[in-house]
Amino acid sequence: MNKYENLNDDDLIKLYKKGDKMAMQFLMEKYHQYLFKIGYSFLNNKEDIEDLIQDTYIKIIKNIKQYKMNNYFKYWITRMLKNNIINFYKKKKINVLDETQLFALNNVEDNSPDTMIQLLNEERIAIINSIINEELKEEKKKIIEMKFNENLKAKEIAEKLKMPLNTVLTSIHYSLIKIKDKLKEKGYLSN
Amino acid sequence: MCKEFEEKIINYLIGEIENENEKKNILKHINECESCNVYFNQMLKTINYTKETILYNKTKFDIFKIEKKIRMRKIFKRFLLGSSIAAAIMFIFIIVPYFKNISKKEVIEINKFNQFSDASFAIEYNNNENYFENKFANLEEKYLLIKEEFNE
Repeated sequence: MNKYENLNDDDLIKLYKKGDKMAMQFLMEKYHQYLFKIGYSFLNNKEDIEDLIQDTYIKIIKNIKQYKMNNYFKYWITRMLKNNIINFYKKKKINVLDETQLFALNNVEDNSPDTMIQLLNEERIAIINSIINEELKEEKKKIIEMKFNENLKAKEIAEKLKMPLNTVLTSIHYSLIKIKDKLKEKGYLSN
Repeated sequence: MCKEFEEKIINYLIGEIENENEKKNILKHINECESCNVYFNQMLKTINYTKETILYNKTKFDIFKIEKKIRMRKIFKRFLLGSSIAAAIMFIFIIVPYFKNISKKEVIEINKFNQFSDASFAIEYNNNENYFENKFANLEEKYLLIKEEFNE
């Protein structure tokens, strides 16, 4: 059993302030899905979401001394992410948050089903991760990550890995079909 | 579903088809064939979920990486501050006096110049107000300035 499991958020922060980095790691792992879910709901671009989440994490660690130990850590980090989202929209000047989005942003804490936030399914992420990490061979795993993480074309992947283009495409097809079949089996894809 | 469209649909969804006619053909077929339409939608969801999962993994919290980033940002800020201070000092002590000298050279028009035995000078110059006056210049900076004017 993990030694941090029975500790509350404030206890974990106290441990981190005393120098126990893993206490903070444990605490933030607990909230990663929650923060990602909010970020994912408000931004469309992959790079933007990544920057937003990483920037929020940096702000949390930088300002952790200012956190008052009042067992409201979740609200504190939510506020930080919300401010980051608003600043992001202001900075990009692409699409100012409309009233519906602002309403949703102001209501993210209550997790009510009528907000526009789509719940990320933890099990679905686990299923896909298990296929990528356990069922795909190292080469196929690398190809699928290059395709969807680095956004490379199959031709570019083939050049980088020094393999035929058809092998790369076949590998992507194989992996996606495997994931699709598993998701279908678990009821995540309707017919 | 139609076997010949299985790979084509995936290639279309992952952006590997560049030919516009081929794209149109695939979309036309999807609209006409129900089973391919179902396959298309399932594959679209699969790709989106896979992208989402990979991004989820990539953005995971890593205390060591975050602390390193904070340290690097601090170093960069200090470097930026140091560079700004160095640039300001350089501007005050090198660039400003250099341009100051140039402007002096441009303004002063010397009519007469005499050097005495004690190394001091007597000069007569036009001060741009249309009258002449005599001035003794025994400061080193003026000596250099006048000397330069004469060398030209």
